[in-house]
Amino acid sequence: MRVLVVCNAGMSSSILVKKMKEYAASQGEELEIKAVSSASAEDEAGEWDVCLVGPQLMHAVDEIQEAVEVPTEAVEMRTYAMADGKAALAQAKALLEK
Amino acid sequence: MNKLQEWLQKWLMPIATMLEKQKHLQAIKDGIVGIVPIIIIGSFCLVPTGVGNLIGGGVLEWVNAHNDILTLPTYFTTNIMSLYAVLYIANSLAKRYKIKNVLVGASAILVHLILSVTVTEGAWNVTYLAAEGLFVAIISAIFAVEVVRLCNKYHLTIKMPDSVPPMVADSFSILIPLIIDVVAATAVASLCQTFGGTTFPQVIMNVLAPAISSMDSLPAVMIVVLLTQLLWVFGLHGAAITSSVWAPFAIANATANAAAVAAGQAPTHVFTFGFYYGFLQVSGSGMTLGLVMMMMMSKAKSLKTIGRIGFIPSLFGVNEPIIFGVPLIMNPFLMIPFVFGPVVIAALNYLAMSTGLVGLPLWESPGFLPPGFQAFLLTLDWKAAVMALLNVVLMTVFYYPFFKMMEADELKKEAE
Repeated sequence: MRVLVVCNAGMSSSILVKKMKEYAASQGEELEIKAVSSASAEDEAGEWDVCLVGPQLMHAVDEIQEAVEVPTEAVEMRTYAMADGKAALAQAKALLEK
Repeated sequence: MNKLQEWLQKWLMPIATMLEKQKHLQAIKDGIVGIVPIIIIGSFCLVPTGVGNLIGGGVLEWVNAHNDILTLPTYFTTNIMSLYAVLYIANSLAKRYKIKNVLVGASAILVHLILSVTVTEGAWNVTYLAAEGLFVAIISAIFAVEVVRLCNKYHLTIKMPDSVPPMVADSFSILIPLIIDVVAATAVASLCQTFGGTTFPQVIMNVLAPAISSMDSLPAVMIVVLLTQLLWVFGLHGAAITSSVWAPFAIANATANAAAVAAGQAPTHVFTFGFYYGFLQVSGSGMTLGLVMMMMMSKAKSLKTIGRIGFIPSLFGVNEPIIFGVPLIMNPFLMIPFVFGPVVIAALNYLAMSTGLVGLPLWESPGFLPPGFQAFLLTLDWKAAVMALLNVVLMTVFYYPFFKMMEADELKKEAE
């Protein structure tokens, strides 16, 4: 699965990305993942399967979805705060299957 | 409390969504933020001048003797920053419109140069490519991209067969927009020259002067911080939203300060990008470092866990784990210090700087640094670093009573 995580500066999302990577590796799952800033979301159009957005940009989910051209959703707040890789990965999978 | 929430939800959320959907504002913000590294590099080259002014004596003499070489890069960075801005803004807007033509940025540069540079007997005057040209860069970028967009929309382009390589096709399809750009920009530039005896950037500066000076004022800074914090209460990235309005002004101010330093004068502006992030956002929105430490020492398990997760990122100005973890969103206990504390801090810091108690930002510096570092790099004044640290201390005092109430409530829940 290829997951793009977007936040304002690509900083706080990189914390979550690290945890998601660790969890996927521990489960032996294949995961291509990257954190970017919302300003560079357009450069990622069509490169990913799903896109997760930091909850602080939930007002921009529609705009980001338009830019990346894949299913996009804001990460659940608690998941984002605790950098819960397992929950975030589950959310990404659910989003892919929608 | 519910009334207030409803009221805020009704007014703030639509504003946030509207600003986000406004492609021009977002492109301007992204473009402006994009050139910050260029301005930081230009600022680095001014550090010897700043240190020389600070120490004086032999150091200043040495710096002055070698100033031509030391500050050479500033001529091609901060002194022509609007040239970088026009390219970044145009590219960013083109991306938002999903315009693929790679020459759109070049067409924006062309418009900007015609509008901003005056040529006398073959010699260029590039004064207006500096901070004063930033607003012209915004106009040029939007104009050039809109021309391409409208030409595409109404099929005013020279179409090549599909077998032609994209680069060649791009260079043909940009021709008609370029003709429109050149005619319009030249007409505007010569109209300003002939009828006003002035330049287009000067006209824009005259029009915007009231807005620029009112943006760098105590009430404006307080309002910006208040709105930013209110947006965060709803879990929205406050600065990302409000900066689509204030970023151009803050960057223009910082560049104007850098130009003053380069010319051996004192900086005049308080509200710069660095002022906002280095002083008013120390350890993240709401300056939560003290709160994080209180949480780490708390007996309430849930608070302790989040405090531990959030501590290291907080040191580098990233406090989303705290904002979403505590959470500070719609938090009945912490809402008051989280929203109003930073407004008080903003007022104190603005006054300390505008009265000369603490040094003004000299330029821009890298951000996302531990508390006090950016403040020092921005001002080369140790008092500024102390002020940034005091901001965190003062915020801790504001948070303390409210934190204690929240902790008691949390302990009660955990005991159940």
